[in-house]
Amino acid sequence: MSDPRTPVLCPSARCEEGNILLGLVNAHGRIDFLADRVEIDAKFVEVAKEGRLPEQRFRFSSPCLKRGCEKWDGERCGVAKILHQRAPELLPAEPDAALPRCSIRPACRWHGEYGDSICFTCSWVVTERGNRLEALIEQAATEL
Amino acid sequence: MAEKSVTSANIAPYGIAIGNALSKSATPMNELIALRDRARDIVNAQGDLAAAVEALDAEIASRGAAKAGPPAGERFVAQIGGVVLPEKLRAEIEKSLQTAVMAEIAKLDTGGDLVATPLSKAKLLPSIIGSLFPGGITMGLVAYPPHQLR
Repeated sequence: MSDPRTPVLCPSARCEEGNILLGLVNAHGRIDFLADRVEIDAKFVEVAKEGRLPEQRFRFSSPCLKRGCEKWDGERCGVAKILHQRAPELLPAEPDAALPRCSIRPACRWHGEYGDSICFTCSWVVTERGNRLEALIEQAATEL
Repeated sequence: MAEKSVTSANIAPYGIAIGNALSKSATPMNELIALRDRARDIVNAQGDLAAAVEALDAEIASRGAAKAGPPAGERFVAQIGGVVLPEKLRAEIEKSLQTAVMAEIAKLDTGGDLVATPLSKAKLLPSIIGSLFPGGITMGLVAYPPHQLR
């Protein structure tokens, strides 16, 4: 984050007018990131909410809420912390793999806290998964 | 005197050449036809290249998602031949096109969020992610301000 006046951005935000469309959830469960920063308007939000939850189908970005967010652990983003712990499992095999394209990287909260490695993890993050009930059942089964 | 556009095998018959030809009302008809025919030949020779790129992307992804390159991107063009529009109107049209494209994109639903991935199988600590469902279930990684919790 080179300019202190630039707001720090959360890369896993809600579908709201004025937020940035960061990427699309592709058929393989990964994010196709947009090359350019695109703000969504009221029409996009209206249409997107006609289908399944937009956060299940897209990734959005908005200014980081810090203490206004339940994921804030007091000093940094709690989500980024977990992703950073998972990063070694999700890094690409090729040591010189290119970073995913990203329209917010210089201002991204996650990248600012953990650097390039978290960008490889970021491409696996779906803000809201659609199979909540199935996840509950699966979790319960593994704990029996 | 109109500047003659040069069309040859060494210069792609689009971009600057066609733009110049269209922007000048004095461009000879035979030159316009030659540009059109050459460009049409190139388009026809490609077949359905967009579909071929998608098929290659899918095959690459199926062999190892990390190796898949980024999507090529999409470009939509509305062509109105024979007129030169004021810059302000061009900007309004561009804006309308962008709004229309985004409204269609908003309908996209690949179902990818339902696909099991290494991250989706992770068991995360509820004390960290603030899940509404204690028990370490990954319910999503979205930041909700407390007053917006559902």
